[in-house]
Amino acid sequence: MVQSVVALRSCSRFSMNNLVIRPDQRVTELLLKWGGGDKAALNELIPLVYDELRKLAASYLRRKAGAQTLQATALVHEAYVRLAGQSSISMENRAQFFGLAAKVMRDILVDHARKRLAAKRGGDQLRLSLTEAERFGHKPEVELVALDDALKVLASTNPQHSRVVELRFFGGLTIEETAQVMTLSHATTERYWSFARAWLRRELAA
Amino acid sequence: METPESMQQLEKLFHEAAGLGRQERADFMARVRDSNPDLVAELESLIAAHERPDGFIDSPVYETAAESIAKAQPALVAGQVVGHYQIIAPLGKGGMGEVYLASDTKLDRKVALKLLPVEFTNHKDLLRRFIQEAKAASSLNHPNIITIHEIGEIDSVHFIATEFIDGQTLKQRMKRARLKFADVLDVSIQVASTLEAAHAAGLVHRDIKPENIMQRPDGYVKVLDFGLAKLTEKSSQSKALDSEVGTMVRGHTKPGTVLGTVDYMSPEQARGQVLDQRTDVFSLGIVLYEMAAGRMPFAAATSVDALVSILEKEPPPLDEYAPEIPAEFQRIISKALRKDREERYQTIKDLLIDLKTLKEELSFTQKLERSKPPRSSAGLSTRRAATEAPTTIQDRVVAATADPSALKSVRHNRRLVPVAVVGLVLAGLAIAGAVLWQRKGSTPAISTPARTAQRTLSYWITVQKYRDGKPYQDPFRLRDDINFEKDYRIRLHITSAQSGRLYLLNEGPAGPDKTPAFNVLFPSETANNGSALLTENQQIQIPQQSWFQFDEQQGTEKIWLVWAAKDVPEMEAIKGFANSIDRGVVSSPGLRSPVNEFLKAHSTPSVTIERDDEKKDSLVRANGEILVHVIKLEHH
Repeated sequence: MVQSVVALRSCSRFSMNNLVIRPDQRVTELLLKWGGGDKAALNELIPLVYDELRKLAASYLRRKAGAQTLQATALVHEAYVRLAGQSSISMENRAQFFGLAAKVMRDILVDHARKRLAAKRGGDQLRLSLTEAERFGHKPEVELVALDDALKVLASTNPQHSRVVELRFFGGLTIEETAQVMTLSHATTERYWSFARAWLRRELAA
Repeated sequence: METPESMQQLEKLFHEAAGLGRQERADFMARVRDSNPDLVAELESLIAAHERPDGFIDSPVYETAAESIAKAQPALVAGQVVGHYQIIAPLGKGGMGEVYLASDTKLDRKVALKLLPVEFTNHKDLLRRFIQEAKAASSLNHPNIITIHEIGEIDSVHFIATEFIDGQTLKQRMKRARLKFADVLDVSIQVASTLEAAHAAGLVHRDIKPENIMQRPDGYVKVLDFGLAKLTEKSSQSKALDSEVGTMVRGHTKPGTVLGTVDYMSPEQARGQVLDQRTDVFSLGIVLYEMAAGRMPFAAATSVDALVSILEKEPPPLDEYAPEIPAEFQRIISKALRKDREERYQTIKDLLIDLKTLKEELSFTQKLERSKPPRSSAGLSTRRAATEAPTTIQDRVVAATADPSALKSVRHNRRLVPVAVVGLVLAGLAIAGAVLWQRKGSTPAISTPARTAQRTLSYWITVQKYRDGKPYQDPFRLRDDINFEKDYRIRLHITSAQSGRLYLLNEGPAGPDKTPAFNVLFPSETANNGSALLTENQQIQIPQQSWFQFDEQQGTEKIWLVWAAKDVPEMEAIKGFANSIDRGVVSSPGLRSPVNEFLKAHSTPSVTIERDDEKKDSLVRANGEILVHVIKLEHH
């Protein structure tokens, strides 16, 4: 059994105790507007979320001395706390924020992975008789791009399933949180997840 | 083709089947085969996938996410305020960060604001050294060195605000059109004299390239980014701290991404050796060649090929591309581009003197030409002047060589220049060696004179047997020789008694062409932050988080352990291959042969091996700077 490379969720949270939390009133407003059906609010929100994720990631990297790993979960939650804080935002808006952050994360990561793969050199491929099973953190580029492609295929017939995976994988949301974002029951979310996961595993293995 | 309807049906059957026990499921499948023959195969594959342990989808993206996001662009947009700077427009983006045109709202002036990439500023000591150097360069108050207004940190992003040069980089300029020779000479002299001033103050630029040379519309040249290369430098300088820090930071990067380009590196830089001012001589030589020829001397499709060229190949003669260039200029470039820095111009001042002399010669002949009556009614076209003047120079140089007094006047100055070069000779490789995997209990105690500190390394190997894609038996420590099979996995556990550098290579069974194929196992992008440096008594598991796996290729797998007090240049040159793209494969033949030679050269059986059967580990011991040990694993 190959040892799982992935750290437990509980270990991966990182605290931002050296940063002052100053919730952005603007984000709360925009989330409320967006929740109320204002599509333009989304266009304003995306760069804010993007920027926050970027800053957090940068700040995390700077302190990455220890063996901690950073998961999407931590990043998204921290971005939320920093942007929206504990303000009087409703659970629905909070869920919406996570949904949005998951989408932004997916965009950034997949885009980055595609670029890196494009930069991949051709060159003579040497035979490697002793290779590392999962050496470089699950070949992130290849797997991310393959997952993104497969998710798009899945979305063509099952948009809800695809979204569940986006939230779980790119947003790091729990089943419960995913259910909230999608306004589905816990059981349905779990069923969607388990089917989509099997379907994707099979696609990615092919 | 799947439709929402067929998927819905599939999902329904999937959940029903997933909830059943083994026997019930078989019955269920049989029923599906009757009722939905089209779906049964797909259902079976889905159930199989469902029962497979752990896919990467099961855990949210992690770690790499931070890096990707932090590197994602753009950081700033026009109008955005950063401290007391307001962004006006992005100016460009290089390996060393993004640059913006910004307005300093306090002093109401335009500045160039450079944001340093996060991965280079992680380390305080490195950052401090960079700041020190950048400030030192700026404080020279040299007209050709860009003035730094402020170095600081806003929102945990490090930035440098410098004077804004309203001009273009040499790179941009060369892209537009080939430079006239007079301009080539003019830019060369300005850059060389800038470097001379810097070198005199003990500052080495380390990253001279066309992107770092700017020219204003009035022709004035400014050299940028002094000290910045310090941030990425892998240094093996005597200061222990420096070298550790350098190695660590470099470890995060891959060949070709460190400084944006490796095309202007000197051979010693490519090898990761200690640098002195002669590295700038070489890099400037490349820039001179490129300006004159309109192409790079070591042009290559990939960074690795470029590195090989820099290390091994001679550039094509300049007159292939620029027949009009004076032979003297070709000579100057050739001397600047000597691979062995001992043969190169020893100081930039020597180079500068030759350039200036050439310029004087040129203007002298031009004056001479002008004083002559025009040959035709149309007079001399500039084109003619450009092509004719050099031939005259060539003649004069030949004449000068023949005339001892003339030669003296040209070379005199050079002799007086003190050769201020720090000669750092790597300590000799006192004892090194390799032994085969020993049978248990054998202790070939080979006594070695205790001249230098003894190096000891202990290790053991964990094996996980695999069959049909599944592990069987519990993982165990390798004790007896076993025959490895395809898919078997191993992992090494190493403890070093002293601090030093550890490199681990895999050499596969020799292929038909007999050239050894090397695969860098350690350090790597994901192991020890890419650094070969281990601290005293550090225990390390390689790979850190998974296993090495055997493929179907049979033969003897060698694992080379190289354990050294200092950086091993041959190893440093290839460790960058251990990234997610190259996956450890040393794909450049030019870099493989030095490695092979190094291993051979140190493969004398003078290390001691002790096997501890209780603990099932091996203690490898040697006296000296470098210890090379090979582990052979049989796979048949």
